[in-house]
Amino acid sequence: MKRFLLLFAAGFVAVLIQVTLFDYLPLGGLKPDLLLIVVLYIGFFLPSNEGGVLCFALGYVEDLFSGHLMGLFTLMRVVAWLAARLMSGMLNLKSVFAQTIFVAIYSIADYFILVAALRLFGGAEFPVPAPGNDLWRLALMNAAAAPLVITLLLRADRWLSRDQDRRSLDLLR
Amino acid sequence: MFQFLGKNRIYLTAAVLLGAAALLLSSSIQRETRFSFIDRLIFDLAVPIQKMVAVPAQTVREVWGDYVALMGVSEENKELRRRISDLAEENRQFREALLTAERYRLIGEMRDRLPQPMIPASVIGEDSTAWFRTVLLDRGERDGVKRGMAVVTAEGVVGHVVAASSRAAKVLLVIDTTSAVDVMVERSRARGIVEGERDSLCALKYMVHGDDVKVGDRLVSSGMGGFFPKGLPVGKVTEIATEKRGLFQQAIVQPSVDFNKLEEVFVILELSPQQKLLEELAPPLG
Repeated sequence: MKRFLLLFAAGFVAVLIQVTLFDYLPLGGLKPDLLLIVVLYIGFFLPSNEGGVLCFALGYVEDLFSGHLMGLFTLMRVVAWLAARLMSGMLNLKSVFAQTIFVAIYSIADYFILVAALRLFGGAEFPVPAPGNDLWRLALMNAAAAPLVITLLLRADRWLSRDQDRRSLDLLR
Repeated sequence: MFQFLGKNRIYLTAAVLLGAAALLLSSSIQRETRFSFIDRLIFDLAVPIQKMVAVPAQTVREVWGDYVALMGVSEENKELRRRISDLAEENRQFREALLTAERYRLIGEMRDRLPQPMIPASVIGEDSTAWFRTVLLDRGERDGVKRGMAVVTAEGVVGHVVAASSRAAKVLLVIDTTSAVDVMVERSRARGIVEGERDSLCALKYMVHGDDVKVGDRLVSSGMGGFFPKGLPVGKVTEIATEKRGLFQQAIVQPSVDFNKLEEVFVILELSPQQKLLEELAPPLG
């Protein structure tokens, strides 16, 4: 449960950083998708049921702060979690480097999933954002941010489990 | 049976969650969803944090712009640099005062032009993704802000409120690809629709071939779109597509508002007649 809350808090903070801090940085109108990295991390490391629910909740929070369609990012974050979950079983994604590469590739796929979702639910005429060069720049930005975010989350995870071990030892004493 | 469920737990979880998300998205596309109590709570919880980040970040940006650019001069010029810095700061203050006076003059003119009551609001956040163009304002329902209200600046239309909690509101900007504003050419009164495009530009669409529009023409809101009062500046035509195929001609529009420097806006606290009607007719959702 603590891990669930920690990752939810991390996702919430990621959304708030995207909403506020990144607007003041000279990033050329783009911003790294920190929440996507958190969601993929959850896909890599959290047991299936909890992870899915958590990504659903985080996607819902993102929907509150992005665009005007409730459910779009809820759907996309669950898809991202499922992709990370399935791919971590098929590919060797244990190192931070491999996870970073996956984040970069998935960032590009994420845009096409967005377009597909808008077309599927909104119809062929529904306006979709054009990617231009932004897509590659966004993928690179996400890849640059991924090692930092993943390492931070891993450390927080380890700190939490170490704390739990210590407490269980205290109880035994 | 249980063995099957256990084995395919991940797919079952994903199917349930994807189904729920798809339902939510589908209903959101068909009818605009309203914020629930939980949504409002999350939205409101974020406001103090956003303000906490926004205020120091703005200060840092100002300091960066004013002082850090002057750094890097050699030691011998330190005294001179200090003097330049003092003068630059003085100059900046004068320019800031001039700009503020000009802004107040424009705001005064706008308030004279528009009879509707308005409330000033600060932009405290932008869209969390790169794909949509929304901003968050520090005013909400307790200040009288409602979904469907128009948001403007002295320069022109900004967007309309798509969701509001008690202390904050989300505004869909006119440069978002899903946004559309009914406009007319100020000079010839020809009508069209301005839709958001990439790179903070807009496109003028659905204007019949032969309608009088030229590069440099100013576009104003027609008052027919349902959100904005008539006569508010929307943008200026910068380029007209030369292709003659189809029923309509198209043009590129530079919005009147500089969305990269959006800090203060005004929310028009009166719904348009169309929005009032929608509010009366639409059953409450969520």
